Amino acid sequence: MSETDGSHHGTDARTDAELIAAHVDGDHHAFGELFARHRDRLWAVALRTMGNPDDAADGLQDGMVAAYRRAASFRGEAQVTTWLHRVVVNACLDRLRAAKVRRTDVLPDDLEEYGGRGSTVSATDAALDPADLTVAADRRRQVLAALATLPDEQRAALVLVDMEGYPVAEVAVMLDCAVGTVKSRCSRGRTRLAALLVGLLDDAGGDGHPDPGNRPAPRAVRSTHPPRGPPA
Amino acid sequence: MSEHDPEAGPAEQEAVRRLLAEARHVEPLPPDVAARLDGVLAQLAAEGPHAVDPAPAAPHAAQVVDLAARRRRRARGLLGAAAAVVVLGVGATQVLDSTSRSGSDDSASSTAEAGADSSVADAQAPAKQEDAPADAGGQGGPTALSSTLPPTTPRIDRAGFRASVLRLRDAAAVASPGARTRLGAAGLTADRLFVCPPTTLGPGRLVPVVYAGAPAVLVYRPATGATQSVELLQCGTAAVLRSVVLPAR
Repeated sequence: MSETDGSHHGTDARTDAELIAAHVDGDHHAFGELFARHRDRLWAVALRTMGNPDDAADGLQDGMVAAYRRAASFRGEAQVTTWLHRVVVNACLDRLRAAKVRRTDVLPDDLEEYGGRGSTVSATDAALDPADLTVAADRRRQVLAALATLPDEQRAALVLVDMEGYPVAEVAVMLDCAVGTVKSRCSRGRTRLAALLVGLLDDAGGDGHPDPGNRPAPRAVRSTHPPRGPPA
Repeated sequence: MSEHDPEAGPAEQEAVRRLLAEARHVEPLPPDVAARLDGVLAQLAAEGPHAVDPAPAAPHAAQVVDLAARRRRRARGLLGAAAAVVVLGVGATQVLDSTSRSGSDDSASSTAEAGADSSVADAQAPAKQEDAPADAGGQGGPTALSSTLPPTTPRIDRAGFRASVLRLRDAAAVASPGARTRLGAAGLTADRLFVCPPTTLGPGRLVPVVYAGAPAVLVYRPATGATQSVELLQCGTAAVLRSVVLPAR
């Protein structure tokens, strides 16, 4: 990932590293420019990690304030965007731990609350078949609901690796753990999701258009044996 | 899933990866959240250079390990101190916590203290930690958010709790909207840096505070006779962290 990865909301030509250095030196516009470059992706990470937009906004704000105040601790050992992700993910995980006692059930509600609030660029293609859209939305809802059941650290790893597409080594820096730990969390998280989403797995392996007809019933226990054929 | 359950095969893992990639959030930051963050940034900028912490002293790997060890030692020390406090009782003070409440309070406070500065400072100079068990929970309690909370919010602690409660009584200007109404940060203070999930605080007059590094609310209950009870409630959970009885005015 390049140092200036992310959309540029301003015309400032400085690199991320230059912006953070300028912020530490007292340029109070620099941090706003830096954060604006990356905030959409940070929002996506916070939203998927927290599971709902209200908590995501709180987590993102915590991370932003923390990054603002602690910018001088950035020593250039990682890319700025990696550091920003790390601060935001840490803030989100801190918040999840604090909320553990009051959280009973987290279901993703961003589809309902934010479904129509995105940019027109990323808005749903009106040319698509409404039936396909419904199926896709339902599949997405099931995936997010299953994701919400994972332990926080597994979910954060999957959000960063599988959803956002960051390299495992970079995610290890973001999550402050070994590369092997990230791989382990991802593998265990996917295994859990595979059991929860067994009815969707065949769809995911195709062209995105599930076969018509009923989906297979969810399996209670995943078998390690190949499926048996029909009776002769 | 237990540790011993077999992992999904490569095909299943790949299918899950595809499902997750499809569920990626691709829309930009919502305008209301963007406006909120812009407001917070403006407030931070208004604080001037004091809003940016000075750079930590010459970092190197050994120091990271030392910090982690020191944090663990401090956590153990605080837990031990908390246990001693519970054993000896806090009846000498006018704190009216029950034994069980006091225990949970102390452990929560210790957790918060032990984790102080964990969320951000560690982002650059982290203490390596082993991968916790996937199902590890029980890390509830107030989180270390003090560095992100507004510096103007009153900080109170256990030691001077009664004195703080007395001192802040005149500042309790916000009346609870109702016994069952959930109130968030915006209803408590105009300070955008104060973050408090909607919490059912009950009747009384309210003062947002920072306790053990986490947001909390002092609730001055309506006086009954010659006394007035005051409770310190944890933001989000409404758990009673401390309580005290004052003479009514």
